[in-house]
Amino acid sequence: MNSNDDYLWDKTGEPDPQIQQLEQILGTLRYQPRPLQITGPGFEVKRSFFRRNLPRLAIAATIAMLLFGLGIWLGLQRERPQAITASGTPQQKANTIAQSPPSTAPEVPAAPANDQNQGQADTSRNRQSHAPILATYRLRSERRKDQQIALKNLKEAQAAKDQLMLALRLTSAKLNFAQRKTQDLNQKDTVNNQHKIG
Amino acid sequence: MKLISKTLLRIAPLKFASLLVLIVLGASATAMAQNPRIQMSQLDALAAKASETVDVNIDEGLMQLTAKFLSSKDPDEAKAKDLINGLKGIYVKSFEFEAAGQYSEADIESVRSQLRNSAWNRIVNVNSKKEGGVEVYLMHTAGQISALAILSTEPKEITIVNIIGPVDLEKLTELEGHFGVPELGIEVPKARRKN
Repeated sequence: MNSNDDYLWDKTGEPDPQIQQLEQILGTLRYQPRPLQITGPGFEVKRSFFRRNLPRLAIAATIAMLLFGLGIWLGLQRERPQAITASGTPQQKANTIAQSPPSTAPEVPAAPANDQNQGQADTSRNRQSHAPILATYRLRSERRKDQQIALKNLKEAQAAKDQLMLALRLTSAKLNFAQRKTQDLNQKDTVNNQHKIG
Repeated sequence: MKLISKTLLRIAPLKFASLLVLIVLGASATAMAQNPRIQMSQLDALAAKASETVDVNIDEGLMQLTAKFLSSKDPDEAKAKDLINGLKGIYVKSFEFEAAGQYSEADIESVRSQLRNSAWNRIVNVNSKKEGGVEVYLMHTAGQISALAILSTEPKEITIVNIIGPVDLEKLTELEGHFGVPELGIEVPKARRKN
């Protein structure tokens, strides 16, 4: 080793042949950046479907979201007039949901009428168009429940109607029988008493 | 004197209490007597012997619901709708047996005893050995019919009808055969005419 060991530190000093030789030998093992390639059976790299189709999936998800949003918006547009009807007078509601008992579920509030200020009207309209989706779903489930109750009531009423008809017919038959019998007796009496009258 | 007053004081509350009990009992008895609803549950045992049973129980609520489903366009249903308007209940029990003698007089008596009180007036009582008998009872309140009861007994059939509310008898008798329901097999004997 030389007295000047700067070559070892920063390669400024006089090079030592032994060190240079070592450098040459070890230099072959120097790190060289390159992509990892594992070859051989069972070591084939497979990228997942999600990773491979990530851009396409992102586009599809965006379209789906847009369609979903559009669907909700259209649903809201369709629901609003019915919601207003439902929150109208009890008579109107009774007509809308025939034969159903009064519901306790909250109703969507009706739009406030404001013709004085156009700006305020627009704001309220906007609020209306962005009516809570939850309320719509609640209204829908409420209506479904009402329909089920109405159907049940309809069946009950149909059965009751048949029973009623049967009962009335039976009663009518019995009354008619009693009436005929009394008429018969009256006729008999008249016939029997004819000789007395004559 | 003191002894008498003490005795009176002791007896007076007792008398008052007994009087109160009598008043309450009297009021409840009057209320029971005025009740147009006839209890028919005691006849349920006959269902086991009967070949055909009709049991109709329509209370006011069900009647109102049913009235909504009766069409005004259909003449039969319109008549029925008109007839049940204002009624508070229709209760019918009818048992038809394969053979005669399946029910006893005690069975009928359980119903007849309820109709024997002053609130009910028997307007028709027809008895026939061959065809059985029909008793028609009416209850009046404020000069109007407030209930109707029919007790029909035939050798192979027993029918009890109880209609609560203002019944129009004329309209009711007109109803027979107007409905498009199939025949029930009720034997209604034709009027025999003597020449």
